[in-house]
Amino acid sequence: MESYAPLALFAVLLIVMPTSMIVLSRLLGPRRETEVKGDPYECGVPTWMGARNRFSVHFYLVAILFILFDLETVFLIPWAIVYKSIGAVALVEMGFFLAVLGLALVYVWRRRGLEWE
Amino acid sequence: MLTGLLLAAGSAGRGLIDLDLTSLPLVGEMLAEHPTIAWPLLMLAIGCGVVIGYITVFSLLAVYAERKISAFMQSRLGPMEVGPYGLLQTAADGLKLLAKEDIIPRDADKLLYIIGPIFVFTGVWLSFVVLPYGPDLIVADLNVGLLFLAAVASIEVVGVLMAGWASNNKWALFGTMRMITQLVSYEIPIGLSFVAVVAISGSLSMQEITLDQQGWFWNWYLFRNPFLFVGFFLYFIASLAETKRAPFDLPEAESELVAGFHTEYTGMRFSLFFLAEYAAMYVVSATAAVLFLGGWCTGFAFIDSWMMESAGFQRVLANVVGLTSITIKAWFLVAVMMWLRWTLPRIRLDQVMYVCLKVLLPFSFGVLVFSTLWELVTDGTLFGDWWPLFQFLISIGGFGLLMMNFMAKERPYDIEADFRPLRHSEVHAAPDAGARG
Amino acid sequence: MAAADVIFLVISIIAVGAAALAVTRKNPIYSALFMMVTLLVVAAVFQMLSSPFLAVMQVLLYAGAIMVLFTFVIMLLSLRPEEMGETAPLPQRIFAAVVALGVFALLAFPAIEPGVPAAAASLAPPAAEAVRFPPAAGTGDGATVEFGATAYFGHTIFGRFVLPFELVSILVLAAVVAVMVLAKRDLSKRDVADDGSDRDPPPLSVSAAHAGSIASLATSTQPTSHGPGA
Repeated sequence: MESYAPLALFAVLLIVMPTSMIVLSRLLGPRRETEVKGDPYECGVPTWMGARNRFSVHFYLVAILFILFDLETVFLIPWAIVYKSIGAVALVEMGFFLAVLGLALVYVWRRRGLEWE
Repeated sequence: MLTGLLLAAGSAGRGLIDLDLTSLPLVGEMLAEHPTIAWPLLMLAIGCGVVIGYITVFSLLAVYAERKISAFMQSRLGPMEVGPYGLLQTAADGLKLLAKEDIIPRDADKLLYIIGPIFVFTGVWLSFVVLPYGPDLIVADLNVGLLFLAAVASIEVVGVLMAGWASNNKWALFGTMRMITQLVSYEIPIGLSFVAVVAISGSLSMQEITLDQQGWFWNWYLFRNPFLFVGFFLYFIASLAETKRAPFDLPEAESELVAGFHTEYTGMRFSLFFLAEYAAMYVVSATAAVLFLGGWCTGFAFIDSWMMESAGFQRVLANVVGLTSITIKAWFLVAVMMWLRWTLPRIRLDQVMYVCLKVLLPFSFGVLVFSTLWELVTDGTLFGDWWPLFQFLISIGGFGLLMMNFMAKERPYDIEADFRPLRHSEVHAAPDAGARG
Repeated sequence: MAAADVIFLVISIIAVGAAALAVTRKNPIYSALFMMVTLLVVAAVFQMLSSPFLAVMQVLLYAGAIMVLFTFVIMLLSLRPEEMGETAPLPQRIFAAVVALGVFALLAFPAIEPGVPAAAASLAPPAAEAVRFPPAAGTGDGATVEFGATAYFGHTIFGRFVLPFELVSILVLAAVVAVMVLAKRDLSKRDVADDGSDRDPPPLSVSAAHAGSIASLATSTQPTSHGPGA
């Protein structure tokens, strides 16, 4: 049932296809490079404020909360597959896990970590 | 894409061992020994080509449909010039993009700028490998199918990061940051919806999930229990954000951020993002169809049993019926997405995060827990064979009661409450905010 | 050499090469990307060891989530070109090398230890075998699953390793608290007066504004121009 050969072929095709599309457009399209064309887009006015700015730490908070909750999803998947054959015990085990994670969520919520400021 | 390739390389190693060809590493020798292997390979290549053609046709039609639907909703005609009713407009646009100049900005990071769009494109299109289109129509029925979808989605995120960062443009970077925040946050409710479905199907294989929903349409997971019924809508809302469709389209809000992370991309490179976007719409819709709406099953028990039992030419016909069924379901959801785009206004970033973390996340937790409990208590057959029908009626009835409750409440529409502007105290979080008299 | 060995060799060369590139690049974004290549290649190794579940998890968690966090942090800090390639002081580098070598030795030790069914003859993975799990203490009837399948992980985690699994949740809780403390330094300042509910504060009415201004007059030494008399 496991058939990875089609996956390999599909992946190769999907790398070849966009690459050849870009190569084709490079062959077909005009090439007239000018000074202004190479500038970063700024609605037609000279660029101000470069692209390398520092961002709010809130983005970091979002990313790390994502990892933690993603981790929990990862544990839930094998649980979801076997919980019927293990039975009620599995529910108790996962119940405790989810309760602790729920606690974490409540903590973040009360501490206004979910607010976007 | 690299993932798929490497995963496949790993298994190809295993496959060769299974074939007892461990002493023949060269493909030529392998073919000489086993000439019959060439035939399935050719079939495979044709099959992959057909699927890629299917996605391309879908994308072209979806772009056309979006322009037509938006036109009709605004009392316009939309594209009319190229071909009958403007049907060839998208193809003409594609040709135009092919002939455009390929510009790489001077300050861009060349390598990442070039591989970014390929990463995004291949990441999204690789999802089609695990989508089932009929009893025998699936490129690769991986037994980790659903997780594979999630994994390639996370690869797409990396592609966006590459493209947005390499552009070296502040609008692109703002768009990237917004987009990553949004994609990453909404992956959690989507993952929880996946888990809720997997807990019932007991399998991650897309084909097995579909087969579990055969028979009358009340066997679909959508009507499996009242909680999964809610779960479908949670998934649908989260998938809107995942494909950055309105009202969650602020990563590429054209009125404030030019075009988001692909501001600097032109011509063919831009069209790769464009194709990936429309393919992603199909992927999430078809996934919703497989998880909740029975996939390629028709919803009529006699047709489904015929599809499974047929052989020979009838089997081909059965596959065509399956393909039609899932295409209609997916197109229906895509049409709803387009309809929403022209109905709802774009929301702010803080509202996006609010919807995800404070509405979808707790609700999908609840859906998961209660749906699992329900399943354990009823065990799928509480009142014998007709239990699925009862569950269907309970789901619909519960939803109806909820709706009636909503409608019964006379709420004067309060625009201040729904779309209130930011307050002074929120704009200037200064300590003297309370001192304004 | 078997085909699996060839593939394994190619994969490991890519993994080690990408890892070496990751630590030698000057631009942190490139370091992160080469690290991602290494992690993806490790996913292929898991696949060769007949565990598609682990392989997909490797992609989802490491190549996806962790890499997003890394690139996010790099973009948040967004080093200027002149700040790139700055090396740490020598003692720190020596310490890092010692720690890295120690971890390597720790990991390599089981591989060379006699008695472990090592990959001496061939690197070809063992054939997938079925494992029988006894039923749990409560209900359920046990199951027979293939080694490396998703269900195998389920039975192992929720059977034999329940306690470590539950401890993971405590670890995650600790991590969440740590993140909040790190990312929201000023939360004690702002949330003291908060009653803990997350509802929006009521809109500023005239009386509320007055109360606020009086309170601010009471606490601050300087009179404000927005006082009640203004």
